Amino acid sequence: MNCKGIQAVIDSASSRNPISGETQVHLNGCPDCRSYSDQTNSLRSLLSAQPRVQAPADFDFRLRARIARAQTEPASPFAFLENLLGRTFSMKQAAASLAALAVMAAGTTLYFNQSNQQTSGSLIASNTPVVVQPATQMALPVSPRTVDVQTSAPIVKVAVKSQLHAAAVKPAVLAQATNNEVFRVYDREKGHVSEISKGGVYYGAESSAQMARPASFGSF
Amino acid sequence: MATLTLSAGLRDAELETDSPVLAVEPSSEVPVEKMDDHSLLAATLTGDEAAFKELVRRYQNQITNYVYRMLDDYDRAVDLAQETFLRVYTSAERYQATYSFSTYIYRIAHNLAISELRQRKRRKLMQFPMFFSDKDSDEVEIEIEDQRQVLADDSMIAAQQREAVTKAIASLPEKYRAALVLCDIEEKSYEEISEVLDLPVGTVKSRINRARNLLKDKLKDYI
Repeated sequence: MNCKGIQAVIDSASSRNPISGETQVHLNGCPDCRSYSDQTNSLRSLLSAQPRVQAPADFDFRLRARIARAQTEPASPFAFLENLLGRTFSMKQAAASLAALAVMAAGTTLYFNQSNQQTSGSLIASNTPVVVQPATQMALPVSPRTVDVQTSAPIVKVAVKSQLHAAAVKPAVLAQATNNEVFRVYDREKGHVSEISKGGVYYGAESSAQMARPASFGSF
Repeated sequence: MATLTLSAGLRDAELETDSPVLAVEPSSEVPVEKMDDHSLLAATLTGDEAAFKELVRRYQNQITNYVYRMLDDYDRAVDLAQETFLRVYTSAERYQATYSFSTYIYRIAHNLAISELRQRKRRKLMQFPMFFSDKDSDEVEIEIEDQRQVLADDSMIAAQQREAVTKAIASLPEKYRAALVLCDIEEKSYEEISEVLDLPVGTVKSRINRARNLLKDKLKDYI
């Protein structure tokens, strides 16, 4: 057996499984393996000499109390979180966490509302074409009344009217859908059909408002 | 005399097996001190408090010691040892007798200790996010000074040596630590360790050797 094999035997040796005579013969003639064996045995002795800690005297008493508590306490409403995170929560901790979550949610909502308003304003001011889904890609609703509008006016914005007023833009209403209407707009510049529904307002520049006229959708 | 069947899997220890269930006949005539572990657990299921108390007596020190070596925190070790017994008590009917009771209870304790170590690691990462690291090791670098020259008293030398060994064990990566503690401190066989850690015997041997080599280096002044 080579030195690697002997060292494996030394590693596996224990009081229940002492090293064999063959290994002992090798150790007597091999200083490296002898040193390895001595170090390993010394380390084992050091480890097995470590004092063992004892459970406290009241271990059983405390355990009984814990078992009794576990049997009488109802399951925590936060059991799923406790399982997930591997710790328990008191009612106070849970309430504090929920309050913190509520504050964060409110803050996030407020932030996004303000961001949306700013975005709307900038779109209007820069006269950016409206972003609406082309009707050709949308399933047309069946029940609402449909009105077709044809215009070549540059699209300013499809938005709620108050936002336009807030942005100091004087819009001209080209078409406005009631809650029961859907209307489609053909934009000649872009060459596509857009659909607006449920109270949406289609605005164009004031000067071109007269260019809007009802038309048959099929004639586009 | 009622026959009690111990069956089902172990949720906490995550032991899965298709082996047949064991039928155990608890005997009220045999004193609890002479009953084997399986019989004690079976008796516990029938409401025999003395049987459970005997199980606790047999294993409380072993489990506390094992968890202590894993965590290096006595109070938490006692707490988790109690949690281990609580789970044994409340899940007794799910005990699968394929494994020895010793393996079963060590496995629960091991899982709790590992869970605790992971929570600590998470907490530490949350406190010091700038030290996030992808290194595949939780080994802690420690400096173990040999103070034997300056310690006059033998008992002080022994105490200092114990402390050095404790620190060295605690600094090992948890996967090596568990295998080493079970082998060289708890004196479990490779097969038992393999069952507790749910690892092949070859992996257990290699982890123990790796742990010993690390310790030889850390404790070179003492061996």
